[in-house]
Amino acid sequence: MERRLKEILAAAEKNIFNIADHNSLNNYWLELFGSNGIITKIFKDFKTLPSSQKPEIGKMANEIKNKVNSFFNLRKIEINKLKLKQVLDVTMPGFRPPQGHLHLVSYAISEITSIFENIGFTRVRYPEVEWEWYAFESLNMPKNHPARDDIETFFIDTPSSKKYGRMVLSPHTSSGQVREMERVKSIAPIRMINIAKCYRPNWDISHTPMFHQFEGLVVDSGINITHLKGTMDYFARKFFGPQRKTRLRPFHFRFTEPSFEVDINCGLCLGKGVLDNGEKCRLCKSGWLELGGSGMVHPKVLLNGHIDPQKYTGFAFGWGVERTYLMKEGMKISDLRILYQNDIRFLEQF
Amino acid sequence: MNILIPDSWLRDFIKTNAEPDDIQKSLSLCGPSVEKIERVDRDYLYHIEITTNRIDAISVEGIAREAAAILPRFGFQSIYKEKEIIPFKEENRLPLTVSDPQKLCHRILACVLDNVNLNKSSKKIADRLEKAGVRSLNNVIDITNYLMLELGHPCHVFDYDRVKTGSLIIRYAKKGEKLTTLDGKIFAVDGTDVVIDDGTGRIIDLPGIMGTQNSVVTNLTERIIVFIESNNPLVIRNTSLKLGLRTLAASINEKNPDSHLAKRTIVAAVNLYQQECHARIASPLIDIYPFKPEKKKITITADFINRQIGIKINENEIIKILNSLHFKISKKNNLLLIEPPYFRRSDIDQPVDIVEEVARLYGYQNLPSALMTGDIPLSQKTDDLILEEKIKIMLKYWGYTETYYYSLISSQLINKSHLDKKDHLKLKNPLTKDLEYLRISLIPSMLDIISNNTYFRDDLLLFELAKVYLPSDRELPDEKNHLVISNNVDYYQLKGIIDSLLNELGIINLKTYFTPGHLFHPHKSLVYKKDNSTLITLGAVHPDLLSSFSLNKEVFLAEINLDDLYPLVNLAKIYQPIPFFPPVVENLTVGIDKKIKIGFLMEEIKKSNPFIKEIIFLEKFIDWITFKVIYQHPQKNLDSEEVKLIRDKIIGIVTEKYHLKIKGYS
Repeated sequence: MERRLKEILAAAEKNIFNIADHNSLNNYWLELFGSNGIITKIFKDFKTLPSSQKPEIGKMANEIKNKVNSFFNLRKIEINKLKLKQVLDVTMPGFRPPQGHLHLVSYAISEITSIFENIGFTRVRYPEVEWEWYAFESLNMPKNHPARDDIETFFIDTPSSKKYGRMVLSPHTSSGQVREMERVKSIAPIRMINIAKCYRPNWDISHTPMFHQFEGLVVDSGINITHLKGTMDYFARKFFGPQRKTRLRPFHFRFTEPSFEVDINCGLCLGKGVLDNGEKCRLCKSGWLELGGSGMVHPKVLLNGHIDPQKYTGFAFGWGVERTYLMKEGMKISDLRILYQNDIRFLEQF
Repeated sequence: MNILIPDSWLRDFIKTNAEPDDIQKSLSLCGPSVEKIERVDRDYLYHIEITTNRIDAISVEGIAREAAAILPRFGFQSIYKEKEIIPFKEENRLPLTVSDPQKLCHRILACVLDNVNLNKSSKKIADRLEKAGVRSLNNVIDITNYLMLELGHPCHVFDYDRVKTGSLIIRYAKKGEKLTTLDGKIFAVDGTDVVIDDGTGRIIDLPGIMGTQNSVVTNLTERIIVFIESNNPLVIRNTSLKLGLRTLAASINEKNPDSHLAKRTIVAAVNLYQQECHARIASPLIDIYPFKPEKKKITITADFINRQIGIKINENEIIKILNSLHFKISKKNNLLLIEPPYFRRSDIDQPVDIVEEVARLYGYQNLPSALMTGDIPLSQKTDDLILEEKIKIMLKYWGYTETYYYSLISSQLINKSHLDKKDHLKLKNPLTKDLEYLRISLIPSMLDIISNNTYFRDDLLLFELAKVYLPSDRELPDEKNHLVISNNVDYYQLKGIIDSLLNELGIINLKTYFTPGHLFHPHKSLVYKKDNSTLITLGAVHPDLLSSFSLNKEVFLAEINLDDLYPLVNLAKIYQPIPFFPPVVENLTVGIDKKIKIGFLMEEIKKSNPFIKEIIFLEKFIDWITFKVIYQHPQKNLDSEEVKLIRDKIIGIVTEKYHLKIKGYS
């Protein structure tokens, strides 16, 4: 027994200090101290010894057990020290997950949507190929209105409808106004944000024949101009920054009365038209930049959506997504047509 | 449209202590927008945008009228002086007859003058015209332009002797007739255009748009007919657009300048011819006026106005504002009866028009800004909009880049893609041949994008999510949301994207078939269906199509009919208790040959026993494939005997049914 114990100790010492990782060390510990381990077995065999040998052998076995355990602890520390010798070239580039890119317009749409959703607007979408009734007639734009000329609007080569007129590519998101009133079965309140593709026959550095608009429509009892102002200011602060504000100027649209042009104070000079160093602001010239059109919904439009203009009033606005987003980013895209040319070298930048 | 007004001219009509900068700022906030001020000589030039409804403001007098009402609101003094017009004594020395048998004009005014001293214009007139962007020609012509700019009504002058007959007949042109305008260009006119005839069938004017060469003033002119008509604005617009004659006169006349202004203008013209050309009046003032506008009255209350504006403006203030704009107001209890001035008759129509007048003069900048306080509508954003955003983000982070193509494509692109033009909606008035047909598939445009980009990048991973427009008889087209995903790298990479997308959207139990459309390689493509409706077509692009787009590298595409996929989406996650008993996991390696379909084999193995929880494809190496098979019983530990039973079943399928070799287990 005594000899066996000495052999075990010698073998354990040799083996433990040859092991180079924690996992193997753990396995070896089980070989010695597991339920069928060699040292565990010694202690099991202990009861077969004559009682005269028990005190001496017992003492020795315990000493060896403690020694072996201390070898294990020592080796654990040594293994950790060995690990510290390992070196990783932390400057080598990592393996990146695949990363694609969304189009500028998608970013713009989701940002605009969430701003308006926070004040109770619901995003909707209506036909892009639309009847003249929704695109013009219902919006108080009569038959001879200039926007209905074929130099202003695309027409589809298909028979007209007796009820709704010709088929057009919707030149604005305002076509959704009466559709929205119909969707809610002419029951106010309405807070709509309609974002969609629009089409007009213009193609030059600042126009593409397809573009996007976002159209807000609010109808409820007691809606007035101060609510339109409040909504414009809210959007300007959220979208462009807390120091921005809007102003309204008189304008003219057939489907709103009064109608306004909405300006935003310039992000550079904050509406002063003059920079801190006294120079005239070159971005805005006069302190303000044009954002887009808006107005109080014309009573005739409400009537066309079967909403009683005696009880309800509303406001609407419809702006270009691309234009508004580029104003925010201050991106100097000299030719807007690049947005829809799908050059991968452009798309990858966003 | 934009007009140019010299400050010095404006001050003929308004006495004010406001500087040009003040005028610009105030006018822009409350009236027509002054886009910029330009310094010219010792004068200032206002660049002003006039909206189509405010044709009354398209003149020096009109702007002065607006400014006089607006400037006091900003603390400036201002006094408006209307143009002084002196009635004249009619004569009867030269005969002139004017007739409009079909009543084509609302009003016609004419007067003959003789002893006309044709010469250079006076310095004042010439200068003002040049500043306003009109070329000075001679005093006779310049007076018509001068008054158009000053008062806002176009005015014409004929050479009395070149008209020859002393007769002017307004009539529709006939198909086949031609006329030569004063600048020598020949135009064909037809039954939709209105012309003036001298009684012999000869066309001597294109009224309201441009004079004709055979009747206009020349250097030899001594006797003239001053002529103004209030035409039908629709006819003017139509003819002017059709012939491409976008003169200033046409752009004013198509916006319906007031017929009372026509009278003021012709009298002012006669005054000026007397002063500047020493002309003598030789005829009566002919005034044919079949359509006198009715007086308009609008009834409104201060309360209505205030509810629309959102603040309380007291009634006296409202009346004061409206008076400053020349509206007449009478009170009846709390009702205000409002009569707009003659020059606003066409634009003021409804109570809300009065609201605008009050609000803009009160100043939008003086109104508070507030968010709505009413109930928030309970509308729900529709699934397509919610899912669209999710899908785009997934694809972005799976390495794909989004494209946006025009919804319109060319017939050339349709042909290249082996589709048929007849299946597409076509524009009646395309801007260019490139954008003529509405897309019915996103594949042609995606192939175009790929072929345009192959020089820039070797690997292209792209997608577009957009509507296609499927024609529908006599109805609006069916606008369907489609998604096209493509790469020129690997079929299985794309298939993995589709399977992950379906998994992420909680769509299960789609059936797959080998019947793709003709755009795909017949042996490298797959169709995903649910109840006979095709949801996804996935595969390699047909070689013929690749070569028609000059693509050398193989392209893989998936076109997904999102609108039909959306109803199958299930984003709800259901919690399943974590199994108490551990699974048994084995790897199975099988030798395969070209004839077998791995997908079918895996399905069959999966179905062979309910305790096969999952079979996962691990790798393919030459002609060996390895699966991971997970066995699990929900209520107990599977012992080795039970696992062996299930495994034997699998081995049976692989070796006996598929005649394949098993390389081993691990």
